[in-house]
Amino acid sequence: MWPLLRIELWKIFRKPRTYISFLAIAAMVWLIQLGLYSDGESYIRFGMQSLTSSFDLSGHILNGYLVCYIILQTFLMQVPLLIALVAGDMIAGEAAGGTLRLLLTKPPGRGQLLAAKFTATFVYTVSLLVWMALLALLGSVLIFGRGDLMIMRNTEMDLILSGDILWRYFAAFCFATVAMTVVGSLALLFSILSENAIGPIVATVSVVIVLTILSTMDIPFFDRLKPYLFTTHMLGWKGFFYSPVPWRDILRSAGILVAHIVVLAGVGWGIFKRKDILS
Amino acid sequence: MGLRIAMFFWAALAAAPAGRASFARATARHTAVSPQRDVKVLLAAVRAKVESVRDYSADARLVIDVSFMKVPPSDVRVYFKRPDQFRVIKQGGISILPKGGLNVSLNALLKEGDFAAVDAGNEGGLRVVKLVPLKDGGDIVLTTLYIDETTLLVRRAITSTRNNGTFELDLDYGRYAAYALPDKAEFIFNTAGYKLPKGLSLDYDPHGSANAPAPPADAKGKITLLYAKYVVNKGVPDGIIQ
Repeated sequence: MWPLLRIELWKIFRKPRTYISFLAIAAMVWLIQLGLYSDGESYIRFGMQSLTSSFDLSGHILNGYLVCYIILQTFLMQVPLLIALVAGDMIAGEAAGGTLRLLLTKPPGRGQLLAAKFTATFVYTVSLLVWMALLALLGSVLIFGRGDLMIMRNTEMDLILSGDILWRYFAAFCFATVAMTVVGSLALLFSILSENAIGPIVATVSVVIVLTILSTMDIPFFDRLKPYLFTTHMLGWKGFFYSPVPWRDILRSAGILVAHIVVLAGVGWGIFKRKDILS
Repeated sequence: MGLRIAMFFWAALAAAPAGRASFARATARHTAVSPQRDVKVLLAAVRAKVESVRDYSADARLVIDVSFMKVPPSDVRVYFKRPDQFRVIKQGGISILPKGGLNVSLNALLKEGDFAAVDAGNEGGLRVVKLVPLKDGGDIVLTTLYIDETTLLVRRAITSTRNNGTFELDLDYGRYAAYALPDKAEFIFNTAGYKLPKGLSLDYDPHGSANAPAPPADAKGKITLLYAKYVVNKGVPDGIIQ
C-alpha cells in the first residue's frame, strides 16, 4: 500500500497543475490581504454598518483573525474547484492516458489501487488546507496583528476574545478537511465513471455550485432540502465561531459528511471493481 | 438616538461647570436634604453633588446582555472628563457601547428653562421627579428620575422617547457614592429596533432558517458596567479622550 501511495503522491506532485492550486490560493490570499491592508476600514464599516448605526465600536477590529475569517468565507466556492482539479483526474486521467489497464495488470489489486488514489487525494486536500492556513491565518496575524474576533451573522453578532480563538481555527480547519474530502470523494467517483479528466472536474464543480446555491438561498421551499445537502453541512466550520459552539449540530454535520465520504467511496469501489477497463 | 438619550444620567453624574466644585465638595459629604423640599432645589443639589468630579478613570467589567449580541464579559478601562467626554477602552480588544449614549449630559437635561420639573411624590423611599421638555419637536417625551433625597443620588431614570421606545438606567452606589459615581450601572433598552439585516453572510444553519425562532417584539437588552476602582480628579492622560 505504502509504495503505491508514494507513487500516487509522486504523480500528483510532479504535475504542474497541482501547483496551480497552491499558487491560486496564495494569489487569492495575498490579494485579499493587500486589499484589506490598503482600505480595510471601509470594508469593515460597510460590513458592520447595521451594528455601528446603534453602537459605538472601538478597538482593533480589523486584525489577523478577522482577515483570516474573511478569507475562509470567500474561499467557499474556490477550494472545492481546486480539489476537483486533482481528484477528478485520478482515475480518468489514467484512463485517458491509456495507463489504467496497465496499472491493473500489476499484483496490487483494484482495491489497493483505489485506496492509494483516495489516500493520495486526501493528502493533497490536507496539503492545500495547511497551505491556506499558513497563508491566511499565520500571514494575516503577522500583517494585521491579533485581537478579538467580531463576526457578523445574519441575525446575530459574535465577539470572541483573542485568547479563545486559535483552537477554533484549528477545529475549523480539521472540519474543513472532512468537508473537502467529501468533494474529493465525489470527484473520484466521477473520475471512475469517466474516460477523460475534464468531465469529472466539471461535474464535481457543477454539483457543488448547484447544491451550494440551494444551501444558501433563503427561500422556504429550499429550507426543507437544506438539511439533506452536504453543502449545508460543509459550512459547519463556521459553527466553531459561534457562541455558544453548537457542538451537537457540528458533530451531526461531521457525521453526515463522513457518511457521504463512506457512501461515495463505497459506490466508487463498487463500480470500479466491476468496471470493464478498456484503456 | 434613543440610546444616545437614555444613557445621559451616567455621564451626567460628573457633568457640570467647574466653578461649582467647592459647593459640590460640601454636598458630597452626605449633605441631607429635607424630605419634601422643592424639586428645583433638590435637582440643583443633585447636580451640585456631581460637580465635585472633574474627571475620572476606572477599572470596570463590561457585561452585555443583548439577544443578538454574543459578547463575553470583559475588563475595560473607563475614562471621563468634564463636561461630557466619556470613553471605554478594552486593552487589545474590542468594546461595544450604545452609540453616543455616554456623551449626553444630565446637566443639559437639568438646565433651567429646558425642562419643567414636576413633583410626582415618593415611591419606595425615593423621590420621584418627572422632567417634561418645554420645547416641542424633541425626541424625549418624558423623563422620570428616582432620587434618594438623603444621599442626593439618582437611583433610577426612565426616559420615554417619541421614536425609540423607553430606556431605563439603574444605578447602584457604594464606595464612591460621595462623588455620585456608581459601583454598578445597568442600562436597559428595547432591542426590537436593533435587528441585524439578513443576507450579509452565508451562515451555518443545518436546520434551515425556517426553524429559527423569531425574537419577541418586546425583547429587552441590558448593558452593565461593574466598576471596581475609580481614580477621581487625578487627570486623564492626554490622547485618551480626543
